[in-house]
Amino acid sequence: MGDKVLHLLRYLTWLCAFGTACCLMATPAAALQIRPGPDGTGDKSSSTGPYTLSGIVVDALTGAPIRRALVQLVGPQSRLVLTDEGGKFRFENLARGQGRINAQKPGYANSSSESPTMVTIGADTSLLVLKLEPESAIAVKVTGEDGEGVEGLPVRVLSSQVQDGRRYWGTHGGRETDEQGESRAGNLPPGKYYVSVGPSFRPVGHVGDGAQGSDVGYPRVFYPNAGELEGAAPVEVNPGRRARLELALRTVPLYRISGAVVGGTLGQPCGLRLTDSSGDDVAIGVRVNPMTGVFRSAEVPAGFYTLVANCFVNGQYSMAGRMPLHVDSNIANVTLSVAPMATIPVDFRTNGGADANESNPTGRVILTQTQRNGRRGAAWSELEADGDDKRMVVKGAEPGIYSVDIRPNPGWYVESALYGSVDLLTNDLTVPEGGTMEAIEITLRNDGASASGNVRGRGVAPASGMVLLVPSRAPRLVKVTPIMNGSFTIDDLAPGSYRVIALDRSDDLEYTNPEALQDYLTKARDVTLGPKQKSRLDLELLQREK
Amino acid sequence: MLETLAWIALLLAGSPAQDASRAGPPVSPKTQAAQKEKQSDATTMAAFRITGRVVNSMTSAPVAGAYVVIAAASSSNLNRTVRAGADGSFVLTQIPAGHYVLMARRKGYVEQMYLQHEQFTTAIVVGPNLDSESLVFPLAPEGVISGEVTDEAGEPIQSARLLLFREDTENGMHLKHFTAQETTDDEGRYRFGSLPRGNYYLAVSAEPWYAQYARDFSFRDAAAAQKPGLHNPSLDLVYPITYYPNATDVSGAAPIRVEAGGSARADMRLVPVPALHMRLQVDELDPQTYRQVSVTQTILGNYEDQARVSTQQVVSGRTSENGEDGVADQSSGPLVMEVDGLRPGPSVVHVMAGKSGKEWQSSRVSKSVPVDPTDGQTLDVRGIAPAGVVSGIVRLEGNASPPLGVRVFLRNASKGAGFREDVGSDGNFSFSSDEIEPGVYEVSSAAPGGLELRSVSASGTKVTGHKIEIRNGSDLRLILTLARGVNARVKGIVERGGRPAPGMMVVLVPEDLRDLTEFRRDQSDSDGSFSMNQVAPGKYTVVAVKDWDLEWGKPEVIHKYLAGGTSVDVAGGEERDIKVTAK
Repeated sequence: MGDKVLHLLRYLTWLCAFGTACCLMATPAAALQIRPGPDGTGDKSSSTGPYTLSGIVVDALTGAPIRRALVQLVGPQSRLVLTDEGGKFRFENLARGQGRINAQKPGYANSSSESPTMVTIGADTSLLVLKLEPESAIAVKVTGEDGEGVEGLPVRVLSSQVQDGRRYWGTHGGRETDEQGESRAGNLPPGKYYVSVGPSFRPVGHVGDGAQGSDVGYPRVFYPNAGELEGAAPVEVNPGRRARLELALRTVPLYRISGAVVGGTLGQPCGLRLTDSSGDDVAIGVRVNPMTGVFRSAEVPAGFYTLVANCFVNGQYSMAGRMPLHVDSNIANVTLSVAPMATIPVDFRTNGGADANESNPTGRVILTQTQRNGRRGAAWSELEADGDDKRMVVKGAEPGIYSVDIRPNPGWYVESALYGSVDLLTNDLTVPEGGTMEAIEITLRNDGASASGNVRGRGVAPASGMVLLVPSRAPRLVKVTPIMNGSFTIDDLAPGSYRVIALDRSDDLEYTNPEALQDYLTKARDVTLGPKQKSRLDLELLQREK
Repeated sequence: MLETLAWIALLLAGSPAQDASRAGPPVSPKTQAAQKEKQSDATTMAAFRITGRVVNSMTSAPVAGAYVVIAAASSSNLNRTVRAGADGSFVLTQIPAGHYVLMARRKGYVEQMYLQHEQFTTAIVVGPNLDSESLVFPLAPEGVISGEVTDEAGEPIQSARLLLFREDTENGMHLKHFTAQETTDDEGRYRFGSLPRGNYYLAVSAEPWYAQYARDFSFRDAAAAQKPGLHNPSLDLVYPITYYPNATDVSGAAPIRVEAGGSARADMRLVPVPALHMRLQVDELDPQTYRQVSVTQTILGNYEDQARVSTQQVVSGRTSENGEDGVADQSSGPLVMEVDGLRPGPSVVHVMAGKSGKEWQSSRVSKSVPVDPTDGQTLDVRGIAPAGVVSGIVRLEGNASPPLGVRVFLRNASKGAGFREDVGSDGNFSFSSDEIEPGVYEVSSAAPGGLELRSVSASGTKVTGHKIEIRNGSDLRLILTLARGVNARVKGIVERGGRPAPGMMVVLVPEDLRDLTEFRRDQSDSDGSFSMNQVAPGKYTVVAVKDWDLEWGKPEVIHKYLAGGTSVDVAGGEERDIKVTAK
């Protein structure tokens, strides 16, 4: 079996390189039977085929068959078909081998294709059962003070999500309310959501007479009735269900903000925007005159905002400024200063190890700022011309607190990363307003350790899953590697002690947060790795609770 | 928003709203006296009133709580909003004499100006001996078109694009104009709200959700083509653009009638057809040049819809993406790109190429080729050339430099696409958009100080009056000359049965009935007065009609009214006052 599997893996990797529907990297197995290919107990005379693969696609909730679902078989033989009226599909004329199979249909969460099932094509032709979970929707109705629907309000649907072990707020598309004040967000996987409506883009009315009075509009409101995400209540949406929400809004006065941007280069444009107290951009324009820096906003509902300016110099955004504002009347003569955005030099060095004279070992540095609202501020390292030479810098990091992700080139590991005396492997990096930044000093070594081995879940080799190695010296910097056909391997590990676990799924696990791993770590293998040590570990597969 | 429209309308229609830039050309003594009279009225600040009721245009029931906005036609000093009572009545007091535009809005009704037709309105003229009370302001309730889009198996289609067109009179002819777009939600449903009454046409553009997998799935190299079952041709389908009610040809499109306050239901069922494939012969390009191919289809003559096609470059049997492997063997023929997923019907293939990164804008070249594709067809799209640059200089008579704040406009006479550029302090301008398609364009200008466009001359193309012809690939250099007193103004009173007639459509008809750019129009105000600006010197006939649906842009239609109209012959800088009788 070994040779064929290797050949298949190579072929599938090549398929992946051309971006087809398969992905070998992070694909936990769906709950499905995997049978090692036995020989010759089949009904056909020949032991090499042709074989048939058939099955049925059903609703995970009700068990009812799903017609016209798309079933894809990916492997050395690729097929594509829609299920029939009974939800059934059938692939014929297949040769013995392995492949991945997944099903999908609009209205169903794509869970099946994210965790495609490994199948073995052979004499054993038991019916495959592929389950699809129906998606949900949230329907919102917004009424104003007169009890009538409010038209034209933006609707935002947020949920807390995890990607690459980090938690952040993701948005799901929402439509503006129609003239009945209704809006619908569909295609939602089941889960907990936060919903906000507003602010209104233009005045909805006027209070008082002429110039004395003021225009009124609707502020941003989080369901059920909060001005910020903090006070909002989540809406639990079950599979296949539609949640109905009603919001009754009261108007608030609208005001204008005006003033000037100082510190930028006159004639070079600046972009001004407002963010609300939840950190999201407010789609209410601020016009600025590039020649004078004078700006004036459109009408904004009373509330707390941050005015943010980003200015160009020579075609690049490189100056920024921000100012918190409490808008409870017209605000004039605001002076917003912009200062050059921080440029952080990055210094890669080597230390000891073999082949220490290899020139310029480097890698990449990514600064990630996880903000409340889900906008992940990020800044990346790049090479910048420095006279005749090039130096590495991180540019354009807005003021804030960042976690530092260092990715050295293959063959190297990070021995230390310091900003002054701050250890960036266990601490965040603070980018202050204005001011210059010192260099991030990263020391690399190439005498890393490696670990490999087999993973068994109840005696069976899992098709997919992840192995997580948590370094004791820096528990946030979890190293992950996929399980492929029951085995794993990982290189360039910093010497030290690790807690190691193998999980069947890690797609929604916040593994950069030690608390999220606590339960699993009770079953971890402890291992200490020395420089250049090749460690062999056999692990037991842990099942995640759904 | 509509207030802005009102301003634009006022500026275009040429009612007495003059911007401050109108300098003082020599005016006849009679007009001077009339102006002085108006001035003194304003300075006495006599308090006049405008009162009325807002009513439902269908039922005549009062529209309680409507917002009524008044704006002065001659200055922006007065801008007030009042709210109508439960009986729909509103009162505006302390109004100085002058011309005013009224606008009303209320949820559930189409926001509009008083007795609005297209972008025109009957302004209320306020002053001594003028009646501006007890107006009846009809508001039309909004209509709705909604429905569901399903596929051949009766299942809902998500993210289908619905394009709504309304039949109206623009440029004097009944045409269907694109008015709104919606996409279906996760249940395949859509809704167009806030619609004024009229005849609507609906077109749907969508793709079968499964088709992209049938296409991405296959490899277009020779080896793969020989492997059967590698992709499923029976799923390689497209939906042709479909018109309500379920016609795939525009000749089968039927109107959806929406009455004021009415709602219409328009469900659509889309039936897929096999996708077409084409090969394009393309130019060889330098490395680091990025090429982009797109395919569009034009719906009802004025909406360009982009088809979701996939393209791949094929180089002598090897497959590569986006031309990065670029260079062909010496032995092979022209460079070829495959295009999959084409819809049947008249289409245009656009090829765009340029240096990637910052230089994209400056190095961009493009070529568009119309085609009605047949499966397996080869189309030659080589010969991509830089779009010509339209640039020029603006001068005053006597070759002086123009003041700051001049803008130059290009407007496509047939398609209506418009482009605008600011003129630099040295008088130079250059149109940076390379979306300027070949065609005939009207050149116009906006400048302070009463400066108007006197003449246009160009090297590199034919000039007729202020119109130039733009062809692909050639640079044009224009010289625009501005002067004062170029154009004239025609104003007056419309009468019907011996009395002033408000709300009439007044049309200034040039000698050449086919030259739509020389027509001017206005709607007579509450005292029967009208005014048209920017009239090019020449001979005209001014007519007034009650029917706003009249297709005045058709020579055979307007011709019948000329006999009853008033002739006028104007020279540059003149202002003429005439009387017109309405039929």
